[in-house]
Amino acid sequence: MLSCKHTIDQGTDYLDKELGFWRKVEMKMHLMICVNCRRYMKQLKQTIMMLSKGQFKKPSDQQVERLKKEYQDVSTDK
Amino acid sequence: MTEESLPSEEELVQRLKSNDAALFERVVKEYHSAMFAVAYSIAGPAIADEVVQEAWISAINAIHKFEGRSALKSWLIRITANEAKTRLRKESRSVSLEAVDENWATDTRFTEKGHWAGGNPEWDISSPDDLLAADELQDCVKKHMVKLPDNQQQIINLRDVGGMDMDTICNILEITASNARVLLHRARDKMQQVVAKFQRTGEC
Repeated sequence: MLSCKHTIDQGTDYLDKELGFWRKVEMKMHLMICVNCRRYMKQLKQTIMMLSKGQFKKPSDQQVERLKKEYQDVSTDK
Repeated sequence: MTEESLPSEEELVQRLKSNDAALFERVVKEYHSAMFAVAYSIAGPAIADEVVQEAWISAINAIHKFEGRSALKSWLIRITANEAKTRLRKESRSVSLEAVDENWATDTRFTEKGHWAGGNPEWDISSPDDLLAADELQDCVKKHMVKLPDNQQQIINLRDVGGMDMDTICNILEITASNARVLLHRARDKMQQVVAKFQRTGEC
């Protein structure tokens, strides 16, 4: 039986479907009986979703304006 | 978040090719942050802004040649990562997995037998939108992202923030797929722990 520590250690491989057949079966069996690891896997997915949608540094208005001008200049040249 | 409001990929690219400045502005606002995160993690804080600026200029000049074989965001992230790499001072970039594993044996979340020492409570704030709306938590996440070891920071930014596929990431970072997966998991696990601690204690 997989320990909790080994189970969560395979979290990314499990989500990305990189585990071999038996490792996957072992993992599924562990998750069936262990609420803490089930929560962990849910939390790992939530963390990934949060990172994918996060705005870590918005561009300043000046940066946006400068890039827009650059875009317009290049488009006009073509 | 304005991602939902951007048009479909095909329309987006078509309109960007035909000089739609208003749409370009929305694209900048939508993707700049992810590009910055990637530039920051590869080239460092001092020149991250410059790298992103250069990446946008390269993208502007190349958009008419963009064929849509990848998503626009992935294309922008790849340009940023390549730009960041060319600006990076040449140094040994070998990935040490020993350093990664060093804390594994002493992870206090688990007992000696590898069971959860104090359980793993449900999160009070759990939907991605609610997590994003919690400003203090987001500040805490940002603070810890930049504290990750360089190689973990690069991979989590390319993969989860930038949305790139693993093959491309391995090419950019010149690491093997199995190393990449170990590093990615360590980084994700650390960020899960940051969010978990914040939810449990209200502290960063």
